[in-house]
Amino acid sequence: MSRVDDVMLMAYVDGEMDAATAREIETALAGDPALMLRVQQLRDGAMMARGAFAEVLHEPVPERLIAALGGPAASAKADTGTTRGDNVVPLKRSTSWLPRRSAIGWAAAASVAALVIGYGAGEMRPQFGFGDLGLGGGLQNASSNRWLDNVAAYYHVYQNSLANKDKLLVDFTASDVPELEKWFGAKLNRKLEVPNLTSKGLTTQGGRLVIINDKPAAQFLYSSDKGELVELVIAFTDQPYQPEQITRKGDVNIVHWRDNGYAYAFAGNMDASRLQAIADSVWRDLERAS
Amino acid sequence: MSQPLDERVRAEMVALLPRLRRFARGLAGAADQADDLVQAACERAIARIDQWTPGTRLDSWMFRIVQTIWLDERRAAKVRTGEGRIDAAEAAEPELSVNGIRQMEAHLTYDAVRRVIAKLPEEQRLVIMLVCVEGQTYKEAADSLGIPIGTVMSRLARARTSLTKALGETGSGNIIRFDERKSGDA
Repeated sequence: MSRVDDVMLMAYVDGEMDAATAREIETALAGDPALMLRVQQLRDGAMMARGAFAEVLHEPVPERLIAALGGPAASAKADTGTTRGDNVVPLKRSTSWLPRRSAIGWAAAASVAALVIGYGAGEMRPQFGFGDLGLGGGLQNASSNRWLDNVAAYYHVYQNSLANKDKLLVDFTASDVPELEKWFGAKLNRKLEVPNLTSKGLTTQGGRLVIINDKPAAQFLYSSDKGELVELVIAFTDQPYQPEQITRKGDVNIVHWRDNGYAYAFAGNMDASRLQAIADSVWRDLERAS
Repeated sequence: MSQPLDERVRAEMVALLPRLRRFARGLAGAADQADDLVQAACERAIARIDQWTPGTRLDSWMFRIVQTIWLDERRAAKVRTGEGRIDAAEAAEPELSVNGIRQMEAHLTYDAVRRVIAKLPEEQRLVIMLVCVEGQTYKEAADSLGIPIGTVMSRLARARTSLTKALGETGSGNIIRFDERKSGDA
């Protein structure tokens, strides 16, 4: 690539480049600190713009707007969960979240659930840090990102399963995506579309049920033919909006954010710049679907 | 209204209200004006529901209504105040601070961002709201605005350059880089 201009950098940051051109730009970035700075400025600017208006989503919706749609004002809360200032989707206390789909689904989910229950009950202090969650703490602690330990741990669980050629890798395979969306959408009380990352060179492997803070959470898995492995975790949270941040846990980079009652983590064994670019695309897909 | 509004469509519209309000806030600035805009869009959507094709995206259709009403209003305002004149609301907009030393709290920084966006030309304001805030793809924004993708990109690039420049001038450009944040401060 002869020259990377500002518009190209912007398209790269926005996830609008095809995979081949994005790789060329990444090559150009690697040797050019000025370009890297500009990429960071573009990302910062976009995230600042997003953050500057995020609070509007959390404001009560004036009744006159609901009335303008001809519906009873009272219906809005049930429809949006955001119209009375109570913008956090209520956490379901139901215990009926275990999958009822197939023996494989049961086995895989039960194996993960057992792992969490064993550690989460606080009887042990596991190396993954599951014991830090579970009993009413976890995401409720605003000053802590310990749930990211879980995200990294689940990443390694899958990574190890993959290395061992474990056949019970996922509850839902990539061929089950519509059902996966429906099933996890119901568990997470939201519309859900599994982000398609094919244009980023990542193929959907499937989804698993995991447990974050005693609540069901979705883990979607992707891999590339270059050995990259990526997971997206969506969990309930009662914490307020938080723009994207990046945290490193061991060999895993995690881009994470919170929005409208959900905590998101996008984790992978790739460099932070590429991960962040893909995470932006994931955010857009999720935003569009919600 | 030429056809009764399906309750599911109405529920979907109600669910869209927070996003419509966010979009309108970015265009109109003040909360009251933004809500006036959303209200007008809701009323128009209900009146013209037969123009929406079931199976297509309701959110895109309603966003288009918001932007159309806003652009019409802006054009009318220009006619009222005289072409090329700065309208009163813009003239009253306080200037951004150029104190590059002051450390701004997050809400002040966001306030600066909102001010910068409010000062952008209308066409740039629309694309930055659609793409950066609403998460639309370039193609979706182009379809929504009825302009080529290349035009979306050039407008967006100009808007973001203005944003970067203004944030740098206000000291907000020194926002903490993600990799410099402590992981425990979420």
